[in-house]
Amino acid sequence: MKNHNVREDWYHRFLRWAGGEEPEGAEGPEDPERAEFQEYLEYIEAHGYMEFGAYRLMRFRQRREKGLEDPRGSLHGPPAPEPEPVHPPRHHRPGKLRNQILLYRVLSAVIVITLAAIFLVVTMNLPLFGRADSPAVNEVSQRYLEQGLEETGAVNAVTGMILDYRAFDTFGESAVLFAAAMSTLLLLHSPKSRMRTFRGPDQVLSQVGRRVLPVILLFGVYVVVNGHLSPGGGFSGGAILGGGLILASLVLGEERMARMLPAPRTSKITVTCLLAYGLMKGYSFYTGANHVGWEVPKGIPGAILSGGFILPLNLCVGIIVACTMYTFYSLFLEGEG
Amino acid sequence: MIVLEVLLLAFLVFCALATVLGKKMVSSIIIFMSYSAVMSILWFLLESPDLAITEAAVGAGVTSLLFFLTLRKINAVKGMEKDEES
Repeated sequence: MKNHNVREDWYHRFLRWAGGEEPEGAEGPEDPERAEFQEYLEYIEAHGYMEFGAYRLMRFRQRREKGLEDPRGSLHGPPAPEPEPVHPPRHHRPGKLRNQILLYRVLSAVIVITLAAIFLVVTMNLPLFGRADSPAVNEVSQRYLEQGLEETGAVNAVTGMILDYRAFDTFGESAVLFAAAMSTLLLLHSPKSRMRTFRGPDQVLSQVGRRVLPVILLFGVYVVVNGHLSPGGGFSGGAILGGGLILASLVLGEERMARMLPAPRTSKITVTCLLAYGLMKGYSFYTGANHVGWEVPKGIPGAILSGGFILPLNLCVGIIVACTMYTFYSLFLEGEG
Repeated sequence: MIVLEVLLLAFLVFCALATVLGKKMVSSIIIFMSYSAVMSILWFLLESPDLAITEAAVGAGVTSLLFFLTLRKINAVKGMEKDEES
């Protein structure tokens, strides 16, 4: 029922907003409501946006102050005490689509259904998972799987790929993370924002968090350091470490964490790690991108000190990711109030 | 195993719908966290444990925390006023 009213309302308003005339011609130009609306449009052109109801109320009060009779009120017999019930103030979304809830809903449904249909069709046309004739099965993956262990020294083929064959991709990703963290720092960091502690009133949660925290941090370090031997690596372990740092900030209090890891220090650590990563992989450029001429000792596959530069690269990526996550958290928290 | 996967996938769809259709933003975020947790189990079943670890840490952990912080920043979380005063 409410929707119906809104719909009749938005249709006429949409036509006026679009600048078109009503096709029915039901309302002539001498229609007082239409004239009033034209006045209203001119007023908001000159003075900025205003609710229609508020505008009518203002005009009504102006006329009453001048002692003039409300022309609309005289038409309807006794003068209306306030014209607002015609257009009760409603809380709408801002913008031109403000009164067109139905159009808004229909459009969003259409867009979502179209997108879902596109995704479904594309997914159904993808080659089946694990088929031998899928384009993903080519000499690249074959080489990675057959000679990856020998060429990179990493037991975990995924880490061997992302930190040896495709190490520059990972470098770019780390740089993107760094850029995001720095942008957030520039946008949200204010030097005299006061720190606040959100140590919850719940002692149980806080104590459990304190007990669990070392385990989480240790697991994060394990995942980072064992990236070339077991599932995981710089990104996943760094995310675990970042979550652990956030938990530490929650249960230990912001002041302690801010003393240990202030924003300048995290950015310095991140820059150092990025530079170290760039230097460690930069030698590939000098050697023709194939590590020819300067072989880093690979070590025995499966040992913790193996895989050439993969272990230090993993450490760098892990520290960058952890610092970025923690920087996001602390900046989001700091910027409030 | 197939039954488990189908169950998890159905739960995934349910979680996605509930996240979108939920009225309260806080509960939407919590459902989104459970979506990420289920997704990480699915990654593990698809034999990519690397992604499973990342999904669990980033999707269920850090992203939801940032969502919560944003919600608190725009004062959409009820019951935070007591905390703000102290």
